[in-house]
Amino acid sequence: MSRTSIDRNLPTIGCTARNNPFATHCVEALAFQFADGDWQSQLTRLRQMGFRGSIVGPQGSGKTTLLLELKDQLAINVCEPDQIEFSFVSQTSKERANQLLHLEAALSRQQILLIDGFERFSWGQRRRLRKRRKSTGSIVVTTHRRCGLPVWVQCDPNIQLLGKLLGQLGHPHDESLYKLAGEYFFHRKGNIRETFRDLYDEWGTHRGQQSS
Amino acid sequence: MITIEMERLAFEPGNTIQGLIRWTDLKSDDRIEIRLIWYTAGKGDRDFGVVATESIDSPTPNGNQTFRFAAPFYPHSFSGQLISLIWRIEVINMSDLSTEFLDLVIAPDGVEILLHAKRDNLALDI
Repeated sequence: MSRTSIDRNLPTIGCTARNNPFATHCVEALAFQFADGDWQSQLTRLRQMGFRGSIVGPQGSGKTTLLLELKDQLAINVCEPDQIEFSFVSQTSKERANQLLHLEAALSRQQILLIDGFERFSWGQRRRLRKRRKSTGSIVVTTHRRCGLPVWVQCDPNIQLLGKLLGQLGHPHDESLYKLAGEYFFHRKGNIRETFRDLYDEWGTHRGQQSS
Repeated sequence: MITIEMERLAFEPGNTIQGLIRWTDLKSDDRIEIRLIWYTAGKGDRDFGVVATESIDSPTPNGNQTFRFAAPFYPHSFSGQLISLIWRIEVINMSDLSTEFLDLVIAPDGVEILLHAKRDNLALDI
C-alpha cells in the first residue's frame, strides 16, 4: 500500500505545476517568433516555393512549434484540414518504413505533408520522398541540417529571442531572472526548450516560494 | 466572439456542471464545440483526455445555448510541484480554431488536492 499524506491545509514548497510559468502548457502556448516578417508574408513566400521547403535549426529552437502553427495556418488560409498530413517521424526503423509508405500514399492524394524530424529518415528514404514530391503533392519538413529541400525558415535561437519569450511569459523586467536564464541558455548551448525546463525547476523550488 | 458563463467553477464528482455559451458575429458555416477535458501541467509532456463533447452546428450569427455535463468521478483535480491535473471547459470555433476556456476543480469537497512534498522525506498523495 502506498503511503499517502493528503493534507489540503499544508502549503506546497515553491509553487505548484499549475502556477509555474515555465510549465509545458505555458511554454507551448508561446507563438513562434519570425526573425523577418509575419505569418502573411511567410505564407506568401512558402506559396511561391510551391509549399516545398524545410525548417532548419538546432534542438529546442522552435522548429516543431513553427510546423504545428503552419498546420493551423494552412487549414485556415490555404486548404481543407483533411488535405494536410502531419507526421512525427518515428524513432524506430520498422515504424519509419511503414510511415514512409503512408506518406507516399498521402503525396499521391495531393496532400500537403508536414514532417517533423525529417533527418530520422535514411538518406535513401528522404530522397524517395523528395523525388516523389516533384510529381505530386507538397512537403514541408523540420530538420537539424539542410536536407535537399529549399530552406523556408532558419531557426537561430539567441539571447534576444530568449528575452522576448521571457517577456511573453510575463517577466518583462526581471533582471535577475534574465541573468539566470542567460546562464542556463549558454549551459544548454542555445537550447531554449531545455533552458525553460531549468527555469521550471528554479521557479518550483525557489522563486515560487519567494513569490507565494 | 464567444464567451462562457458559469455560476461556479468547483464541483464534487457526480455534480452537474452547467453554464451558458454566448456568441456574436459568427458565420453561417461556423461550428462550435463545447468540451469537458482534463489535462496535466508540469515540466514534461502533457497528457489530456476529452471526456464529453457537445456540438452546435450552423449557429445563428448571435445566440446562446446552455450546456450540461456530469462531473466525472475520476481523475480528481490535484496539484504538486512536478505535476498538476486540471479540468477545463473549452469552447472551440472549429472554423478558425479560436478557443475560450474556463478551468474547473473536480474533487471531493470541490477542493483541489495539494500534493505536499517535504524536503527531507518526499511523500506523494495517491
